[in-house]
Amino acid sequence: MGFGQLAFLWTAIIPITVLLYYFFRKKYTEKTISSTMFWETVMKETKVSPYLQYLQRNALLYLQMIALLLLVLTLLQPYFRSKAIAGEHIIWVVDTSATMLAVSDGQTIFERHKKEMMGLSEQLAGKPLTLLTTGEEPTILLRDETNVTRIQSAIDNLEVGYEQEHLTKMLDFTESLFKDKETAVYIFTDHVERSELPLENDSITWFVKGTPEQIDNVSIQRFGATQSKKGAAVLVQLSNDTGSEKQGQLEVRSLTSKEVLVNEPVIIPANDTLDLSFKDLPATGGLKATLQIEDDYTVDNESAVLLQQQTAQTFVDGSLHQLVTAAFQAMDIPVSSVPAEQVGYLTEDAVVVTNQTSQLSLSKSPVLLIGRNDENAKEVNGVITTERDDVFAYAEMKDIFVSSLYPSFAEYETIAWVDDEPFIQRSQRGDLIVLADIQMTDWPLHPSFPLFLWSAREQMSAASDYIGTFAPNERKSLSLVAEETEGEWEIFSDSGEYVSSLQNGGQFSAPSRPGLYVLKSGKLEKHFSVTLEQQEKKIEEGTTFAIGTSSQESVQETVETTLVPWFLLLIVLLLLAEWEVQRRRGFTN
Amino acid sequence: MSKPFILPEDWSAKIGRLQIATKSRLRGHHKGSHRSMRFGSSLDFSDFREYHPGDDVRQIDWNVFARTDKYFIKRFLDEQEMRVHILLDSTKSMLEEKKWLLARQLTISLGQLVLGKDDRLSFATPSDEKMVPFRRKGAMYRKAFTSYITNLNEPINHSSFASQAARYSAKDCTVLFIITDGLEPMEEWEKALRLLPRFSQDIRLILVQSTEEVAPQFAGDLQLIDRETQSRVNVSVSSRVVEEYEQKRQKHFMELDALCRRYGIHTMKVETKDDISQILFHQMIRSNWIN
Repeated sequence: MGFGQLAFLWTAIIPITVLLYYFFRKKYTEKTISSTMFWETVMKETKVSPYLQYLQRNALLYLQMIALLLLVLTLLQPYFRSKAIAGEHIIWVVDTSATMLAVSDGQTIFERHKKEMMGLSEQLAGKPLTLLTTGEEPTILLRDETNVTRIQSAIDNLEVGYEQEHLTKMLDFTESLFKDKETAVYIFTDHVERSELPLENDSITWFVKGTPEQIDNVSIQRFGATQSKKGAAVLVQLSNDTGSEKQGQLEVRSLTSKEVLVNEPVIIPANDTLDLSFKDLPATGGLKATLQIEDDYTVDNESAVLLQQQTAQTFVDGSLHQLVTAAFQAMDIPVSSVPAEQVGYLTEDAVVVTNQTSQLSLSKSPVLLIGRNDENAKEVNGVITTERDDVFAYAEMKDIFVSSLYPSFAEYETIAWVDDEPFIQRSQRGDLIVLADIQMTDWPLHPSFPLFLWSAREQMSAASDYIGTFAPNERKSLSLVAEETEGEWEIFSDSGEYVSSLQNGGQFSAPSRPGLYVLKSGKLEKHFSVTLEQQEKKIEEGTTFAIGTSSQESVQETVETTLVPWFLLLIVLLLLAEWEVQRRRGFTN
Repeated sequence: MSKPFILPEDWSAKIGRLQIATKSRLRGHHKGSHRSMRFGSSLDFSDFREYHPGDDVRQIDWNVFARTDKYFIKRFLDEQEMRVHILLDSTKSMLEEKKWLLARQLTISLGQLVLGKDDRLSFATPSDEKMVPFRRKGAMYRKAFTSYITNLNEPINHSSFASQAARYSAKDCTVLFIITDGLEPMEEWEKALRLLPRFSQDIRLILVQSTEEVAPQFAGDLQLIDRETQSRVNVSVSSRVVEEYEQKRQKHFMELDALCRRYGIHTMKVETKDDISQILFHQMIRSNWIN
């Protein structure tokens, strides 16, 4: 404890005066009465103990003395020196990637970091704290927070988000939060190189809390499967990051029948990978590989794959108008332009955009037919009406003008009309037919055109009940139209647990935990999987270090916490007590 | 050394018509001015009774014999003296000026009532020194008694009054007046009051209380000193303490009252704030002690 204003010591005169006054005050006035018989009995009852009685008699003096002494102390401005985190502004960057779940000494690195944060939160001494979590989109959980309770509850609520830390993005983001103050940035992660830190700013001190020691990790590096007529073929790549040979058990299980298809002991050499392939496995909807092995990081010992066609490529007929290609490119969809005569020879699984009607029967992959090359168009005039369909989830068709239309296919389902004439049709196979050339309509000038193309491609490329594979927390726009009665999609985990829900037309956000998920809306069901990013399958050990100007001095600094408010509070309480004593005694004496 | 008279000049005249009322039958053998239930030689006629052999022939009413030819004895009421003993508490607790004054005023007034009716008065007060007890009969001693009491030494008695009371009371008295302040422990009173009914059938306890005792007007931190025992008590007076004192005091006197009722002793509380005439003419008459 120290004093800020020792000069105020002279005020000690005040309590001394009161003390002196007490010394010279009148003593008991003697009074002779007939008999003290009753008084004695009265006082005997009051006299619990002589000591207490003494206190009782002098309570007022003591209270006054204490109050005055405290007042003197308060004027001296006492404070407590306590250790606190250096820096005026504290930023904590918390890595919430999956690698944080690696276990060392019986607890995950994440838990260890949480504990350390809890410990540090005690030393904040009222300094503003900003708490960030990493991810594709860095999140600010706390901004300039000084309330320790709120900070601690925020720390308590931290959870691993599984997605990779995007460290450079994170550091850039952190830099944007810097003010002109002394700032201490704490990075709770596994591995950061000194060279990765932006060290231009002198007032910033970096504290990196890394993974303490070697963490043994064996992971399923890759897990892929293809479906053919003979059955499923599986490729597994196991990776051993440890310095010693590892033995384990690999199990591949069918997701649909829950049947174990492969169960093999594996030996992975030190610091090496092991490739395994299995052929002619029974056909199944999906596969799940599990590696039973002793290591410190279990999240990457499991991987799942859904065996469904997902068509990646998009081919556009070269004879189509340039606007089609441009529209695809506007939506960031890579397209390959194919000369009109070669369209028929495409063998790959791809979405074909063409005006050759013959492709509807020839192509194995879904076709988006824009216009027909085998018929002539008839003039039409009217308003466009659409069915409720996934392709129109984002595309508003009302204001489009269509000058003429080709004859329709009688056997196909019509999903859009121009004044009762079929405009857009869908085949049983899933092909989409737009019965107008680009030149016959002003549609390409509307923003709905690229959106329609994107929706159509999305729909055709994916098998109807499989949306794809996502990274944890990945956000993506999907053309999903929920059942009318439900109005929203609900995400359930493989085990049937509710995860989250998605408003119709809202942005799809993948769950954070890797695994298989089902997207449900009424009777509609769509599957997708969340898998760890490759970076998250590798754990790097990192050192804990500090860089920056103030780090040379010390991590901690002493902070003077003033005690004046507490003293004032005590004085007020004492005054209340005095008042009470005075009240009980009666104000007259 | 004569002290100034402590009662008004015309006091004896004022109280002259009053007399002590009692139902006690115990009387002295000497002639007095009080009519007794016995037949005797007073001038007051009572009744006639037939003569039986053995009766005093001098008492035969010859006039009645002349008229009726039968012997009748004429009977008169007897007049006998009353013996009154006054016992005054002279312990130091009585020393408080007003209490001592009032106690003496009461003693003189009662004494004058007794002597004025030609009754026998005896007076005693416990004291360490040998004192000649006052024992006189007849109105002529009124002055003497007054000056005797007026000149009574200030109380210096250290020992408790209750323990000495029995020793200083006279035997076979019609009325026994005890004038005290009652400020002694209950046990001592218990002992004393158990003995006293032997001496008299009609015991009257007059409790003299000073106003200060009844309602203490103390304030501040006081060291109270007991007059008798010199013991000191430090008291920081507060309304609570006074209240408790009040309760203790009332309890004490209620117990004393109960004790007196048990032994058939009449009690009366007099306060120093009241005038002697007020006490005599109102309190005592109302409670039928004098008439």
